[in-house]
Order: sequence, then structure tokens, then C-alpha cells
Amino acid sequence: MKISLNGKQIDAGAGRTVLEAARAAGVYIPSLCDIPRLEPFGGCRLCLIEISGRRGYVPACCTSVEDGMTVLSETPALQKIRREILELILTEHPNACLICTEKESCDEHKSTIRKVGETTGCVLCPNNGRCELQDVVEAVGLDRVRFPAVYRNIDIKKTDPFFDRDYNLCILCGRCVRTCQEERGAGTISFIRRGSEAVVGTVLDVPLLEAGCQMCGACVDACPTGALTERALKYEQPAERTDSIICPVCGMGCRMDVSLLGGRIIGSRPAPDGPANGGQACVRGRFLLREIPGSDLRITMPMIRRKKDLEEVEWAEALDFVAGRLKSFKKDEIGLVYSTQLTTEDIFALKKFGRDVLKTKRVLPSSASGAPDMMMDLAGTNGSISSLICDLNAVAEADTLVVCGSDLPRAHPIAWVNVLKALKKDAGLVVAGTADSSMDRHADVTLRVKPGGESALYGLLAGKMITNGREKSGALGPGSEKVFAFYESQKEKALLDSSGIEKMSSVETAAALLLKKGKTVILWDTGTVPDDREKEAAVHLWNLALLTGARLLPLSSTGNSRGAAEIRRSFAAEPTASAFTQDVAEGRIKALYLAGPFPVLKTKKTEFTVLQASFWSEASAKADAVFPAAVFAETEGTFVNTEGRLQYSPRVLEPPDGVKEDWRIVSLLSQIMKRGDFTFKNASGILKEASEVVPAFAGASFTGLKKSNGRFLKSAGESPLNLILPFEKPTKIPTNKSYPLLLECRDSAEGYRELLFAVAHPGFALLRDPEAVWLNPKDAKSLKLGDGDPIKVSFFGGSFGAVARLSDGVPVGAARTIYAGGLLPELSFVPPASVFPVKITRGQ
Amino acid sequence: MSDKKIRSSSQLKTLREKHRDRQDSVKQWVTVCGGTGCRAYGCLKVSGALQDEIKSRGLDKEIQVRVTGCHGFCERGPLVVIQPSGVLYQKVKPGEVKEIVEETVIGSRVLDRLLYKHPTSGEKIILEKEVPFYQKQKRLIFGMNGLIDPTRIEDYIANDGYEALARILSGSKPEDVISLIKKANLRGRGGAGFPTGIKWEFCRASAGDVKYLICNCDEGDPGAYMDRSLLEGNPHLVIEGMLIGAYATGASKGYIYVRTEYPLAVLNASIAIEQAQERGFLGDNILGSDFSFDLEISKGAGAFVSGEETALIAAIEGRPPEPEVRPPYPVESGLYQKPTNINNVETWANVPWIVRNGAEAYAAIGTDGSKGTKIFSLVGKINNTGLVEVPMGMSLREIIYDIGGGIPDGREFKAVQTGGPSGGCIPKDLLDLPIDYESLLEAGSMMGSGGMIVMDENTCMVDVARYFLEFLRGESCGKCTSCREGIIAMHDILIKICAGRGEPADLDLLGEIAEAVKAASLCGLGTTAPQPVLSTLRYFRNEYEAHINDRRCPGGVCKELITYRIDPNACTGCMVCVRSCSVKAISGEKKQPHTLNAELCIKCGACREVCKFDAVIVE
Ligand SMILES: Cc1cc2nc3c(=O)[nH]c(=O)nc-3n(C[C@H](O)[C@H](O)[C@H](O)COP(=O)(O)O)c2cc1C
Ligand code: SF4
Ligand code: SF4
Ligand code: SF4
Ligand code: SF4
Ligand code: FES
Repeated sequence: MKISLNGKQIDAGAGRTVLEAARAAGVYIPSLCDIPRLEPFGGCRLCLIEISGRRGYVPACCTSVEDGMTVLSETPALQKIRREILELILTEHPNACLICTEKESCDEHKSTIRKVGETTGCVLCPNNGRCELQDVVEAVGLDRVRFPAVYRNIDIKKTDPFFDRDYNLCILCGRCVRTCQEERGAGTISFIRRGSEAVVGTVLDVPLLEAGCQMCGACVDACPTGALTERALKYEQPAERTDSIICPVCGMGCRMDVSLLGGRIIGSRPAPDGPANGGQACVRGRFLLREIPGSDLRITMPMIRRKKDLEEVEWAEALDFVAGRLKSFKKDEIGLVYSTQLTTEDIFALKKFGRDVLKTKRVLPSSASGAPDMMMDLAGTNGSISSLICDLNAVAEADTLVVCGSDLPRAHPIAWVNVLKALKKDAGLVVAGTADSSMDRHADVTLRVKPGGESALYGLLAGKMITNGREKSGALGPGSEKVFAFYESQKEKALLDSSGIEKMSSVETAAALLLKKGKTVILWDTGTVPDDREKEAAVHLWNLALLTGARLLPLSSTGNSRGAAEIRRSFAAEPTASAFTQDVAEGRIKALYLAGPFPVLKTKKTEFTVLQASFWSEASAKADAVFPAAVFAETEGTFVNTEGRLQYSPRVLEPPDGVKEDWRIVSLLSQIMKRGDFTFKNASGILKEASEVVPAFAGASFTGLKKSNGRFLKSAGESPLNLILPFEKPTKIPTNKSYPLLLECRDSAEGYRELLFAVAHPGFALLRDPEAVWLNPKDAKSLKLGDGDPIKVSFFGGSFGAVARLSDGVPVGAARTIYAGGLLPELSFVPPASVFPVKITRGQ
Repeated sequence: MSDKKIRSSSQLKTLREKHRDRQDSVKQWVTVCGGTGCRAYGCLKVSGALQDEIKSRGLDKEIQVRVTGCHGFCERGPLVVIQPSGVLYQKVKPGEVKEIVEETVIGSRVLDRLLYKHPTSGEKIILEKEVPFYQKQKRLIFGMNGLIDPTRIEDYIANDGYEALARILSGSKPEDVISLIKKANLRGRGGAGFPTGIKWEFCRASAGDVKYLICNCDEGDPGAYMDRSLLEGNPHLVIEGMLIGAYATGASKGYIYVRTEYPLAVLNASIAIEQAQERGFLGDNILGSDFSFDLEISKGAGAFVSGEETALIAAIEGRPPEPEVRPPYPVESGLYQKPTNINNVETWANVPWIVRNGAEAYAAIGTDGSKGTKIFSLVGKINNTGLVEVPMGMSLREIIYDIGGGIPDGREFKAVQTGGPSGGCIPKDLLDLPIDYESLLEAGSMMGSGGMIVMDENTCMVDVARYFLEFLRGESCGKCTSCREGIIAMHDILIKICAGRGEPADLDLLGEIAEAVKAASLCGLGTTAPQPVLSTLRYFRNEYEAHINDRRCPGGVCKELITYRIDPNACTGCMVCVRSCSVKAISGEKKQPHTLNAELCIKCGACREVCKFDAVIVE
């Protein structure tokens, strides 16, 4: 499409607004309320243009290009009105600095005067220098404001964690409101009041947290002014430089632009061009990354326990000490734990270290890779990802979405952002899970199952596909008759009972949505400790997908779970988490090499424990040797996100003196112990080796990844997609009269390695309390417990202390907790499964 | 229930005749206006007493009491009209009912003291139709209000109700209906005056299997209440109009959007919808045809801006009522992104008449560009306030003097503000302006919803502009900069001028902001909000200048600029003002000229209001 813009012909492309077309053509039209990702708004009125044949002025941001359109954006009349509008905007905004003639020299002389409580001009404003309002004033060339000024005199809102809201600086562009609503689906803030009283805020002006804010920070990034500012940054000098890294926390693979100053990360913002996240992130990536490298809990010197106490020593001594002790254990006597938030290269090195140096098959990831791993198992191909599995883009394009077992906005925020994109285009949404969540109000049907009732529900749904008219085609594999027969013989009523869902009608509604024509995507997450029950759930979902032509997106729980799952396939099978802990508890594992968080077991049977860690935790106090390990930004490497997207993350910080990368530590040990081939010089060399060993990484290299902005893993050929016969007898949740409640543990990556975010930042603890065990108020009442009471949670094989929290969203008879990979000392327990019976009593 | 359904136009005819016969069998009927306005004066007590009285005399077979919709003459309520004779009693109290029944209903004697008195000649007027307030009106749309009980579909049917619908369903094509409305040149009564037939045609042409109709009864203009009166007084008329519109546009579902502050309109419209469903005027296969349509009421909390069509759509969808940029227009993508035809209550109410009487008959009324009648709500400094329906093109003078009875207390007319809060003020020189869409626009005002506020010589035009801007300041939704900040800026300057702190440069600044707001704003609220400023600057610039240059308020309103004193020559020493002054600033002996202490005076104007001898002087 061609349009004429100020007399020049430009290629406008189809489906664009005039504003977008002008931007693409490099023609500046001032704008303050427009964000390309959001629906057009047309509030600020700065982008007014003239179009031949149309009356008056129209906003460029709300006008679609039409072929042959003649557009003028710089007529004298427009320039005049634009100046007037800008003057009007500035009547409600501190403007002395904006139009000050001394602006430039002022900038040179000012030091850190922005550390004031209130912003009365740009020199005191945290947004100074990257403010869009400043840009517009500059571009329009405004040098006076003739209209009467209005000071709103609103208290600065500081009660919420992470960012302040100073609505005296707000120009009411609505970008925050629309971002929160449209992109994040949170709807926390809106315009409250009308006319001259109009202001942005929460309903009844409650703090954001009470209004359901996810603290994702998307509104802060959307704000063109200094009205919304990150609190931590207010007291920092401007950054020296920025760089892009991959967030290692959860499995979404957000690319983050980190600002660096004096060898520190002072802030992180989602990269607008991040291939997986496209300008979005979550509270963890947005506000907590800066807390990680410089944490007070960082370990910076190697330590060993020769006698009673741990003492700091030089690396050489520590390595010799550890090498000597490790050599004394026999094959399979050492248990190795690795963190799944490490880079692919670190994980590969650790796996190799376990096999070739420690000579053990007892190697365990610190956090289950859960869903992707299980689906890969079902696909049966060697680490390939079957065509049944889809990426986030497919989520955004779907017509029907089924979310199973995950509170997406919290655990997999970028998946949620993509779900919202689909919902904008009228997609249907089914939410199945054990607790309420902010997704419910967007859902067409909510299927509330009881803990452990998921597989019954999925089986029921798969059965409905067959009974409700899905043609029984032989194309679904040789054994499909048996599978059809299985589903046809299911007893629906019994399944409904064991799922815990109240009405068959809601299952019917969900089934009807699944049977609708169009693209369907099922997003699925498992619990913390995958078990047979969840495998069974995986089979039903697999079949459900095949029967409806849907695609699956299994969600990984931590930054590199998916990478770990791929690597794992090229090594010996790993034990299950419960087998591993049992081996520790019963002394079959005599020594532990912990390169990832692992609960502190109260066993005397472990003879020697090495910790390769970045932060102090209860485990460090018990260790016999501690190696200080680098954190994400201090090491270069790759991460594989939940979609199977392999991305490169550079080293942007020097590690503190005395700290080494994980792969380097094990390489050094291997050399001293003279076992294994660890001749890597750098991480890039490890990826080279991995790419030869792990089929999914074939051909991957740092140089290639840097150039291509990441890429998807290679599939190792497609095997036919067959229906899978589910277990004959459904797996039951064990019940036990002495343990009357069912506790469900969910892990949503609430920390990085050993560092719990709730400890790293008090604000995070307000948002998500890892010590909380959520109970239905009815159960709490019969247990005589109130909100906030200390409790003891006992189960077959142990107990732990926690704090009771009440919520109607938890079903009666159930309890819920975040099990943050055994990170918190008080929660140092090993769950026997994701759902297991417990008894709750008043604690302390 | 289903046995009540009417399945063909012949069935409707039979039913109509039945109800007419029944109506004719009643010898007399007494109507009591039951509109919201009269209810405030206690008309329900009057109608209750009437019913009791007639029943106790055993006359309830021959004499019927009918609580009707608003007659428009609300200021004189409760109103009682005895039919068929047409005797009008005004300001009736329940205690007077017995006498009315005895004397007038049974005895055909007229009670002199309840009659309406001509405001200037003082002559008593017996018949409703002879009251000058009604005489010059042409009550095409509004007339039935005084005759029927809005909660009885039978009354409506007996008065040709649903006849127009039946007529188009037996033989007219949707296109025929559209061309009929186009030929009649009906224009939207909600403000902008967009040709209704063309809107329908656009809606019909829009692609889509689902289309909606909306009836806009938000009526956010504080002075106007004709939409309320129509919807509560004759809801079936609006429903019938919508049915015809639905047939023409191809809509299958409609909403009547009413503000919650109109409980009676909500109630009567709900009753009417239920009755229409019961009778088969709404629902599937209406009157045995293939045409199906249903209606729902959507209640909104009234902000002025929710009446703007895109904001109204957002409100029905449950979103905050904020206007959106057009295009796309609702007829292309409206409610739930489907083609949606929105019309004002009065627009819908015009439709059945046009169908029944033909486009030519309709087009014969009014001016070249503006056809038919328009209902105005006449308020302010005028003798007869109320709702008046007049043919388009009637002059302001006729409305204000002939129908409205002129300005009270012999004061001088200064200006009339038309078009609602964002309308403009029209000065005395333009009293002969014919009232139609074009002339009003040219004069710097607009038709708007039909509000008409009359102002006398004691009005300050700067203060008037300030007053309307204050209203708009609170009612702008705040979404777009020019409207939100521009209104604040204009209002602040006006406050300054009224407070005597204006500077000569302010006038140009005011004009500049006004033009910018008008040109740049997103919705009609913003583009018209400067109207009060622009029109007063245009016609009353001298008053602004007096405020700024001479620190003087010619209207004697702006407190900072006036002083009160008592003219010793005019003062009779009646003491009334002494009692009215709350700060005891006036003193004096009986029958001696009083004096006013300007130090104590708070300029509230109470003394001036009460003085019968115009002795209180404001300078
Ligand atoms: C601020 C504002 C308020 C409005 N309020 C009303 C209203 O209360 N009633 C109404 O019918 N139209 C109102 N309108 C006009 C509507 O947007 C719309 O044009 C009208 O309902 C269309 O009906 P019509 O074509 O029959 O006039 C308003 C417009 C604006 C800009
Ligand atoms: S928000 Fe921008 S324009 Fe406003 S004070 Fe801050 S830097 Fe200046
Ligand atoms: S932080 Fe996120 S959830 Fe909270 S208000 Fe801002 S955009 Fe909404
Ligand atoms: S807080 Fe920022 S983003 Fe939100 S409306 Fe105000 S200026 Fe716009
Ligand atoms: S934790 Fe996950 S969602 Fe959050 S920023 Fe990091 S990668 Fe993105
Ligand atoms: S960018 Fe178009 S109106 Fe704000």
C-alpha cells in the first residue's frame, strides 16, 4: 500500500496505522499514548494529522492506512494545535525544567539531586534523560506554557514493593492501564473518577498488591513519564551501559536488558525484541535479577571443614581436599545434584562429571523438569520434540486454549501473555486446576479438581471426545482400537467423583469447546515431584490432543529445565527424586556433591558433602567443603526455554574474586582427580561437545546463536503419533486416616539457585510467601487455626513448620504450598510426591 | 400466556376494535399526569383519591381514572384533565378531589380556583387545549402521552398502536422502509441530527449476521427530560419505532439504555417489553411473519458522557463508559464489534407516525433541512416551564413568548442557551431565529438534546460560561488531553475573570484554547465543550471586557465585582429585606428607607429576590 505523507510517497504496508507507517518511514509524528502492542487509544491528541477528503484532524494512531491516502502531518495549523495540546498537557505536569533555557548547562552541573522525595522538575525526576515527554517537548520545540497550571497534590504512593507511583507526574495517557489490562490480563489499575478529577488508580485506592497486582512491572515500562518508577533505581546514577541476557529463573526464556553500573546490575527490563517474551517479563525477571549477583548471601571464598568448623582456604587447597575425599568413594556411592537454572554448558559439564569423574548414576536435577520431560518420554523419540508439541506463538494463534495445572500469570507469565493475545481474538479458554487463580475470570469454563484429581478429569475429557462423536479413525496408530475401547468402557460418574468436579455439565462445556473446529492448544504443568499419577495424566492429555487435533505445550519449571531434559537423554537414566532421597536417608549414597539446592536431610549417614553454590543456605552450614560458584550474568552460556528455544546469554559481569563458573570448578576437580576428559577452555567448547553428543543441540554454537538471535532445538526425526493405552487401573492418591488433608506442592521457581527471592527482597515475601500453607477456612476452623498461625505439617516420613493462610480458593480437605526446591530452611523436607496426605496441627 | 399472542394484522385489527369499543363504553375519564415531574408534587395521592371517590360512589363502570405519562406542563402539576370535555385543573391537592368529582365530573360545573390563569392577562382558562402553553405546540409525538396509561398495552393498541408495524410487515421490504424514512428526512434527535434513514441504510449494508439496535435514553443533559417523559409515558411508541428500525436494518436484538436515575422509565419500559413479548410484538415470528426481534433493558449509571454512542456501547458491554475514536462507526462495528444502529428515544418515537402518515405528510412539517417536530425542555427565567413540542423552524420568539409566556416579573430577556451544557448562548438580536439544526449551528449553538434555558437581564454571561464549564469539567471522561486539560484551563481563566482578576490577554488565550479543544478533541463532548465560551465571546464580548477592564459585572452576579445598595427613593420600608438578610446587613425603621451596610453584605442576593419594589440595586 502506498500513501503520500507530506508530499512524499511512502510504502505503508497493509493493516498498519498511519502512525506506524510514518514511524517505519522515519517520519516523526509526536505521540504519547500510543504503544504498538496495544489497541489504539487516541487519548493524547498529539498525533493529529490531516487527510485529504476527511473533515478536521484525525489521530494518526487510530487511523488505518488506505491505498492512495494523502496525509499531511506538518501543516502550520497542525503545528499550532500540537503546541497547544502539548501546553495543555504541561499544565498538569511540572514544566519549569522542560521549557527552561538553561536546560543543557543544568544537566552538566547537576549531581545526585534526584534523591529527593518529590519530583518538581526534570532535574529531580528519576525519568530524566529517558523521558518521552521530554522528547516530545524537544521535537515540538515548545518554549513556554501560557495556560494556568494545575497541581494535583496527590500523595506519592509508596506502600507497594518495587515501584512508586507519583500521579502528580501522570499525563493520563492510559498506557499503564491498558498494558495491565490488555497485555497482562490483570486489570489491577484503571481510570478512576472523571473529568479534572480523573486519575489512574486501583478501585477504592487500595494498594496494588491488594488489587491483585502481579508486580510484573509492565506498567512501569509502559509509562512515558516518571510517574511510575522503579524504587531501587531512584537512588542510582544513570547506568554506564546495558546488555541483553537471558533470565535464568523460570522456563520462559525472557531476554532482559540489564543496566550495568560499577560492576553491578542495577536494573533489568524485558527486551522489546526478546524472541520469547517480546517486551514482557515478570516480577522475578523485572525486579529481582538485580538482587542476585550482589546479594549479601554470596559465597566468595572456597571453604573446607578439616576439623569442626568451616574455614576459608585458597582454591588449590580446597580442590585438593575435595578431590582427595571424593576419590575414596566407590562407584555410585556419590549422589550428584545439579541446578536446572544453570546454563546448558554447566549442566552438561556436571552430568559428564557425574558419569566420568564421580562415576555415579545417582544424578538428580534439583527441580523436576516435569511436563516437557514426560511428554518427551511419551514421544519416545530420542530427545526430539514431536510435532504435537508447539511453541508460544501457537498459543497466541489458538482458537481454544486449555490450561491444565498451572497458575500461568504467576508461574509461566509469558505463556499467559500469549494466552491473552489469543483471548483478544475471541479464543475460548478452559482452566483446569486445583485452586482459584486470576485466570478464572477470563475463562469460559473453570474445572476445579481436587488435588490429584487431574488425571481423572483428563481421562474423562478424552473419553468425551470419543463418545461425543469423534470419529474412531485407525490413523491414530495400530493399537488405537484398544484405546478407544478403554475410553468407551470408562465409568464417567466414577471419574467425575475422583476428579472432584461438581457438575458433569462443566466437563461437557469444556468438551464442547475442545470439539469445536479450529486450533486448540493444551498447556500443561505437573507438580513438583512427578509421579505415576502425573504420567497417567500425561497419557490422557496426549490422547486428548491426538483425538482433537490439538497441540501441547508442556511447561518447564525452571530456567533450563528443558535443556537439562535434552541432555539427560544422552546419559544414563536418572533415579527418581524419591529413590534418590531414600538412598541418601538409608546410606546407599555416602557422599553428596550438591551443585544445586537440595533439602537438608536429618541423616547422619552422609559421610561427606560438597557444596558448589553461590549463596549461603542451611546446607552450607552442614557442608564439608564449599565452592563458590558464579551466577547467571557472570558466566556465558545458553538456556533452552519451555518451547525448546535455545538462546545465548553473555557474560556481562566479572564474578567476584574467588568465584568460578560451575563448569570450571568440575573441570579443575577432574584434572586433579585425573578422571574424565575435561579439556574445555571455555563454555563455547562445552557446547561444541554437547552438540555432538546431544542430538537436539546438533550444529549449535555460540557464534551461530549470537547471529541468529536464538533458534529452536533440532528434532531428531518424527515418529508416528499414536494413541497410548492408559494404565488399566487409575493411580490413586494414597489416603491415610492419620493424615486427613491432601497437601499439594507446586514449584514456580521462587528463587535462583539457593537464594530464595522472599529472602532476597522483603517485597517478594509480601507477594508470595514460601512459608505459607494455604487452607480452606472451613478446615482451618475445625483445626482452630487462624490466618497467620504457625503450624506443623506432618506426613508419613517427616514434618515441617509453616504458617497457615486461609483461602476460599483451596478446596475443603486440601492444602497448598509452594515448594521452592527445598530452598527454605524451615521447609527442608522432601516431598514424597506432588500431592500427599498430611496432618496439620498448631505449631511451636 | 401464549393464547394472548397476536399472529396476524387482522388479529391486531380485531383487538384494536375491541379495545376501542371498550374505551367508548366509558362515559367519562379523568386523567392524572403520572410523570416523574408530577409525581414529585404528589399526583399519585390525587389519582388514588380520585379512584376511591369514584368507587365509593359506585361509578367505576362509567368513569375511569387513568394515570398517564407526562403532559409536559410539569410546573403546574399535579394536573387533572376531565375527558372528553377537556377541562384542565392544575396544582390539584388530594383534598380537592371530592369536590372535583361532585362538581365537575358529575355535575359539569367548573371549579374556578383550580383553573389555569393566563400569566399576563390573568384570564382563567378552562380547557386544556386553550392553554397558550399547548396552543402553539404541535404534539405529533408527545400528544398520546396525556391520553394513555403507559402500563396498559391496550390503551396503546386502541390509539393505533402497532398499526405501523403491522403495515410494514404486510408487504414492505426493508429497503422500502429505509427509503420512506429517507424521504421523510427524519434526523437524529440525540444531538447531531444525522439523517436516520442513511444511518439505517449503512447498518443494513454492513456485513454481519448479527446486528444490534440501541435506544439511547441516557439523557445526561441536566436540564432535559423529554426522553424520560417519552419512555415512561409511552414506551410502546418507542418499542414500535425500534421494531420498524430492526426490520429495516436487519437487527435481531435491541437494547434500551436507560440511566438508573430514571426508575419510572425503567419500570414502564420493562412492563411494556413484557407485554409486547406476551402479545407477540417482540420475539420470534412477529405478527406471523419471518421477522424476529427482541429487546432488553440495559441500565447505566448516568455520567453525561455515557450518552455518547461509543461510550454507551462500552457501558452496555460492561466496560468503563469512555468514548472511542470513530471510525469505525457503530454501524460498522459497534456493540460486541457487530454492526449497531443507535438512535435517540425521540428519534425512535417519530418512526411510527411517519409510517402511518407517510413521508410527504411528515416532510410537510418543518423547514427545508429539518423536518417534523422537536420537543424542547423550556426552563430558566420563563413563565411557563415544561416540555414543548413544536414544528421545526418555529422562531425562538414564538417559543419563548407565545408558548413560554415570556419572562417573569417583566424583566428583560437577555439570552437563551440551547443544546445542553455544551450548547451556545443566543442573544436577543436573534430572537427571530427559526429553530432548526442549521440555524442553530450557524448561530454558534446547536440543537443538542433540546434543552432551552432562558436567561434574563440579571444574568452574567461570563458566569454562565463559567457555570457550564464547571459542569463539563466534572463530566469530561478524562481520556483525551485537549478536552480534559482544555476545559480545566478555560474554566480556570473564567473563574479568574469572574473574580475580577482577569487580564486583557486572557480573552485571546481563552479563544485560542477554545478553538484548540474544539478542533482536537476525541468525542462530541470535547468538540462542543468550548461552545459556551465561544458563543458568549461572540455575542457578549462586552461583558467580558467590562469584567476585565472596568472590574464590573453588568449582570450583577459576580460577587467580587458588585456591591449592593438600597435606593432610598424606591424603598418603601416594608422590612421584608431586613428579615431575609442572614448577616443582618440591612437596617431601618418601618416605612423609612432602609440602609445596607456593604461591609457586612455577603452579596447573596436574598434581599434583591424578595424586594417587590426593585429597590435593591446592584452595581
Ligand atoms: C457527550 C455526549 C453526550 C450525548 N448524550 C446523548 C444522550 O444523552 N442521548 C442521546 O440520544 N444522544 C446523546 N449523544 C449523541 C449520541 O452520541 C448519538 O449521536 C445519538 O444517540 C444518535 O442518535 P440519533 O441519531 O437518533 O440522534 C451524546 C453525544 C455526546 C458527544
Ligand atoms: S516525567 Fe519527564 S518531563 Fe516530567 S519531570 Fe520527569 S523527566 Fe521531566
Ligand atoms: S505491575 Fe503488572 S499487574 Fe501490577 S499494575 Fe503494573 S502491569 Fe498491572
Ligand atoms: S502512570 Fe504513566 S503510563 Fe499510566 S497514565 Fe500516567 S503517565 Fe500514562
Ligand atoms: S522468571 Fe521467567 S517469566 Fe520471569 S522474567 Fe524470568 S524468564 Fe521471564
Ligand atoms: S498517540 Fe495518537 S492520540 Fe496519542
